[in-house]
Amino acid sequence: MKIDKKKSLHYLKVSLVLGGIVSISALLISISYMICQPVIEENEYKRLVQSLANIYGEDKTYEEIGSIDDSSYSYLNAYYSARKDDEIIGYIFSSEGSNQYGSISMLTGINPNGEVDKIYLLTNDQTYPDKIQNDYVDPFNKGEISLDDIYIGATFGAELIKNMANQASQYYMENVLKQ
Amino acid sequence: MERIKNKKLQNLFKGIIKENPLFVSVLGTCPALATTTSIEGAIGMGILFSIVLICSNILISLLRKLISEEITTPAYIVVIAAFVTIVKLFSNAFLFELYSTLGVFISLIVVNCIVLGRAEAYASKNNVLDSLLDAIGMGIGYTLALLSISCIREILGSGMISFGKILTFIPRFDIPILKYVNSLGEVVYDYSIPLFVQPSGAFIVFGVILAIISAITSFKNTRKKIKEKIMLKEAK
Amino acid sequence: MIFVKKSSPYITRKADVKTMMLDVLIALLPTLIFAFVVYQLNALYIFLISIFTMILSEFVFVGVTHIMPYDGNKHSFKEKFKYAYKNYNINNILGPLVSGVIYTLIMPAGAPLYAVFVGALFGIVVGKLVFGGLGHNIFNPAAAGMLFAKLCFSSQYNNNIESFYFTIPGLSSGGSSGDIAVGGTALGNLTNGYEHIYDYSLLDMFLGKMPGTLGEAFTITILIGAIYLVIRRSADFRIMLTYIVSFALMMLFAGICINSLNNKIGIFDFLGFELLAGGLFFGAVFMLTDPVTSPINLPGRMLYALIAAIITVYIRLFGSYPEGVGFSILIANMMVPVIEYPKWSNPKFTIKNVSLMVGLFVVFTSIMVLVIMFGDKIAL
Repeated sequence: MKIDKKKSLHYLKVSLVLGGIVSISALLISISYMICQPVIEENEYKRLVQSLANIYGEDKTYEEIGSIDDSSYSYLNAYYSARKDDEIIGYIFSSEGSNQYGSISMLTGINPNGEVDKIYLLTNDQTYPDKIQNDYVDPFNKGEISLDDIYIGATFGAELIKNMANQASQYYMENVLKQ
Repeated sequence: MERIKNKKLQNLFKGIIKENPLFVSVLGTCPALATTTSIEGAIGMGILFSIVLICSNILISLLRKLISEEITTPAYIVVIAAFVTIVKLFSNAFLFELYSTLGVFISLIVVNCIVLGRAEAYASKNNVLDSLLDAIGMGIGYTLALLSISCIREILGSGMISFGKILTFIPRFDIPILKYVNSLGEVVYDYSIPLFVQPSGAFIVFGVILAIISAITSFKNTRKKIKEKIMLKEAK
Repeated sequence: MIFVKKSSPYITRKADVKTMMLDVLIALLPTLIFAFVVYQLNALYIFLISIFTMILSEFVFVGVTHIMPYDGNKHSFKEKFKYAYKNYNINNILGPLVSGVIYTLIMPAGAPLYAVFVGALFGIVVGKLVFGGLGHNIFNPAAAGMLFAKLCFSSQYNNNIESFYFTIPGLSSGGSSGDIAVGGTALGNLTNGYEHIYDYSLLDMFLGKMPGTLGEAFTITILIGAIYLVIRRSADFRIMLTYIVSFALMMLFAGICINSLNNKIGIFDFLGFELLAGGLFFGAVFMLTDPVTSPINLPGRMLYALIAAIITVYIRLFGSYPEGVGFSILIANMMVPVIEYPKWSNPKFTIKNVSLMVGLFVVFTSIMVLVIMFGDKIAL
């Protein structure tokens, strides 16, 4: 009986100590979470606005509408609305895809009629990435070529970009315009 | 009084050269090979690591009388993981560039052998002041070791030392050594060897530094032995 | 009465390391001279840089590893120097010289000189000296250096160096330099479609009129060197033969499959192209037969050549690099300690040995056939 009581006291003490350590750690973690979380969210919003501003400019307000999980629109991830003084001037779709030469993730700007306005490449892992930027994306953004002119010099990723942009426009026509 | 002071200082400095955790007891090599592609990344990793090591050493040394033998491992892991989470949250909020560069290697500090090893071998047996000095010494030693590897890797691998890319509170400038890109973006000269910013280059650099250190150590040992032999002979 | 103070044999042929290396150098000479004639100053600079780098590195290495041990007294620099270089003989110069010449002949003519220097340094230091110097290395130092330079600096290679043939009109038949695509070795064009095997006629490729590295295009000189080595018995001709024969057999099967998929590519044209384009003959004659990095006994050597051939075929057909000889030589070198492990290496041909070789060949050929026919890997 004596040995049992000693052992059970010992185990009680051990579990109390462990519980104490755990609760102290939980307290410290929750305090730092309360301090840091607002800062993290604010930074994330700032970074999102900074990357979206590449399409329509920094003086617009941007808002995330939703994420896209549809398997028939395999390239698209999420879409955002761009407003100027409370009026929607366009939508931005973020997408990523890859072909045999590498992967591309990009933002597509679509005006309210459903046409592709501008393209901005976020990451470009293709071979010869500068060629795509200079020969295809930049002239398209300036309006010199249309989206279908994929045989201008750069052959590697142009078709992939065209497919992703068209898929964004298609999604817009099917789902958003009809609402 | 003088002896105690000497011992405490010895405690502090042993972590830097004599018992350097990376080069002498070859512990914690995984972050050493992955985060040393740039000097700023190495400094950032060393600082975060030192913070975790110091805090966990202090706390474990405070609680050393209460933690009995059965629960040492879970108790240490909970304490270390708590401090790593706190460091992660703060770096995500205030040093975002460092957080996204180091990525998963901040979380890996939890299972870094140095932190757990120091907790078990030293902090659980000595008082708070000694554990604190030991942690400071080990942290400085690890940071210096990471810095030495990353100096070689960054100079040979990317050709220039960039400041301000990861630790964004430093103004952004580059020191061109082997590669010079002028302000228009054109490459003026490029003699860098890209192998050294990849994992295989890390292994080569680490191996060469370990070989040099072991050669120096063995030279010193043979010198000492032969000097002792000669002194014994002369004493006869 | 005893007139002769020696016992038999009385007439012997000196067969030591020095004569073997001299023979390899003499066999390399025709190819080297041809490279100088065709590529002129580029070849000369690359040659000088690589042999100086390799011989100097070996010199420094011998000095660093033979430091005089500490014995309590002070010695002058001259004494330490003499102690360190006590055993420095002709082999310490011939070894890096052979590696340097082979390294020159597998670098492309458009390589920047800095890349040649760094590649030679890496090849001799990490590929040979770190393991212990002559006779202790696992990897072929020239192949290691060439691949290091290719992986690090290939974006800076100048691919439009015109060889001597193209600057004299009328000497080249067919493909003039205007038709060569960017990055255009003959094998590199195949990524645009297998019909490019008709860009150069087989006679052109045999005589070396196609772009390639400094030494591997001139098949005639390589064959002259091979015949010299075989006559002098300084290289094992069975390794060369096994490598080329097994490569040709596998490419024959591949050619049959490709012909069935696309009728415009003839079987024997494809086979001839794959044999003559790229560094196949050069690797077979000079790099695979290196006695330090190949196994000791004959069944091991044939297995080693077979493994190298299988890996070359796979990299050329399915890999993203057009030329697979350098990688396959290094991977086969890696397998050599396993091949000559004392527990199962046997100098005679047993049923186990032969069945292992035949089994490997059959399995990998059938996998290759299946992937060509039913996979989508080949850009036809």
